Amino acid sequence: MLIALCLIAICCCDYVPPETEGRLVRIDEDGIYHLVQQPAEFDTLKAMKALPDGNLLLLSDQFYLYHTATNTVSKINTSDSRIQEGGSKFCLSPEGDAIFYCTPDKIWRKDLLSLAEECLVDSAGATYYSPFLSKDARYLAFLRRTGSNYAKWEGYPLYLDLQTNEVVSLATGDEILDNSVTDCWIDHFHSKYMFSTELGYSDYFLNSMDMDGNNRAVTTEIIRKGALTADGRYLLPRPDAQGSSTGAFYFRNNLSMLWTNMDRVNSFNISRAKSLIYYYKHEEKKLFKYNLATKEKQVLFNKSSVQNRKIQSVTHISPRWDDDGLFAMLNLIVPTQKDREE
Amino acid sequence: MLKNCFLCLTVIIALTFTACDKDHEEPQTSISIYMEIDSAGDVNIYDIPVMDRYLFGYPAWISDDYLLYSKAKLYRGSLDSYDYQQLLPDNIDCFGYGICHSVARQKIWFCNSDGIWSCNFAGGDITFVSPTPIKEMQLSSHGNFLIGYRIDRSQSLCLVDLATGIMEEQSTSHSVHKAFYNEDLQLISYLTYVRETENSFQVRVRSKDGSSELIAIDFGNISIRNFQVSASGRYVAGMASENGSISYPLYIHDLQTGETNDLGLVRSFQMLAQGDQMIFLPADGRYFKVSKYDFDTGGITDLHSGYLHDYRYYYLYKLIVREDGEKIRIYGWGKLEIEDRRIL
Repeated sequence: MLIALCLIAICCCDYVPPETEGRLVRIDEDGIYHLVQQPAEFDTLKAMKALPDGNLLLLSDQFYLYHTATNTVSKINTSDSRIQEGGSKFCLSPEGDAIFYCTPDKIWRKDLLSLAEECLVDSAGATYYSPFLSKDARYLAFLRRTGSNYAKWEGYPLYLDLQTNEVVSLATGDEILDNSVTDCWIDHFHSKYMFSTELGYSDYFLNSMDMDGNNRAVTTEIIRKGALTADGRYLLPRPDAQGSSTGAFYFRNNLSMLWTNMDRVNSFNISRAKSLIYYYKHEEKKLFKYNLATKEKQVLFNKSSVQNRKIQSVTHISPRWDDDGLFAMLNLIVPTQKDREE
Repeated sequence: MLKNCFLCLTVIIALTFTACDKDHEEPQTSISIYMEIDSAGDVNIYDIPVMDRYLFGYPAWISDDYLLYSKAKLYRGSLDSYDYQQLLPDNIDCFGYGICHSVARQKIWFCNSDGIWSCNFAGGDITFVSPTPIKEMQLSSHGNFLIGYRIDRSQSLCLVDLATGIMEEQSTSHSVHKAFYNEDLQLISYLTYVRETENSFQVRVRSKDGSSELIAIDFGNISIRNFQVSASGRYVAGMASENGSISYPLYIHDLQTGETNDLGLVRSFQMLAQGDQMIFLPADGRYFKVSKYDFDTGGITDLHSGYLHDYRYYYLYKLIVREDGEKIRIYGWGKLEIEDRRIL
């Protein structure tokens, strides 16, 4: 009786959260956009990356290839379907011909052309995650989960030297430090192992060390997780799998060491070329291509609505391999009955 | 039963409508206040609190376009810009030890696990000073020494001669939290936590060679978070709260005369870098005002009433004073005076 009364009362309240619908969009470099009614595999999309052949690599429940010409997907079979969710989830080789991912106690390389699969690290009982291949394809950085908190992915850093097949652990022996690393990557320009730590509330740092674990130092506390532009000139926040960012957006000129506060950035991703990034600013409903070095900014997309539906957000910004445009997910507000009547 | 159900229905519907009534705007009972007070008492109010959104670490306000930040790294910031100039390279940090600086010498001293270092205000001229890192490092009254305690042995006082880099260490019977060295009087004053039958925070004063020591202030078992020295090094003051809504007694000790005074309940205080003066926020009931205290004369000058239109300061978030003492910036919360009266 009471539940029924509550329901009646709640129905009197006219606030209904807007229903949204994700649509794949391809935006060419001249700003012309193509909205696609994408296959169902996009409904549970966790990450997507553009491939050299123009297609897209998707991670939803599994890996899929999205064929842009036919608007179809094909599943990429993996020997273990339990792909680890923590950190970066997976990474693509610099040539775009292979993916590196982790399953419980193993790290894999999957060739996207031959579809051959190679187990790179196999260690029973260990949980590895967040693989990152250096841009010179020499080292595969990854993390081993140590924390007992299942809600958080934290651990200590390691890497695999792909030339010698040697796995190097960068654990310190300090229980707190070895249970605080949340992200890892390699700055191949300076042969530095970069890693993020969260030591407590508001105590988060981007750190660096030599490849042998020596000279550990905090790089900055201005950003939590870092990434470089393709030319290595700028240090940026790491775009998460969806490419979203929150709070103030800062980037650093690595030469002058000046941290610059940029425009409000709601989501972004880093191009494979120069100092280019792509970002979406919801306040202006615009998607920009921006060169951090020249400050040259180009509006690629400036619609507040498409097909009579308002844009709520733009996520999964995925620059195309040759930088001739991008793919992204447009989250559109589905009109209510009231909207339609108006 | 029917009566009860009807009552429930009425209450639920009333509550739901109240929650859903979006058109009715309640007057704001509290607002964030960010203001700058200059030495003449003139006040500037800032609508967008830059310091609230982008303040991190422990900034020293050197000049209007020059803030010095430290937490894990050193940065130079500005009140007019959101940008930061990073001063230290990626392979050197100062995480966990704290820094000190001297405007006269244009120098910053910082520590990391490798030891004590210095650099200039532009981050250049990075110089290794001493191999033993010390914590809560403070510059002595004439800037010739650094004093602190060892991170691996907190029952210690370490005095580093900046001319030679030589460190003299002496032990204490209880752990040190922060220390100052007065070169003229050759006295070390330090905040220590005494664990005995009755635990207490104390300020103790000892001679440079450690041969004599006395208890200057006994705070009892209240955790002391704010312990500072005056510009000349003659006066030390301490209280329980750095910032916040609760007021605590502020004790002052004169190292020259050996006298200790209680200045009453205050919210926070900040020593000025020049002249033996401090800015403090004396408690006035639930609220506070802004005053200046002169240690030599004991005179108090009121700088601001704490009123801002219909609002009165009731919670302090941050207080920073410009190096020349001419400007104070305060960020906190103001409560609607009328609203408060209605409640009372």
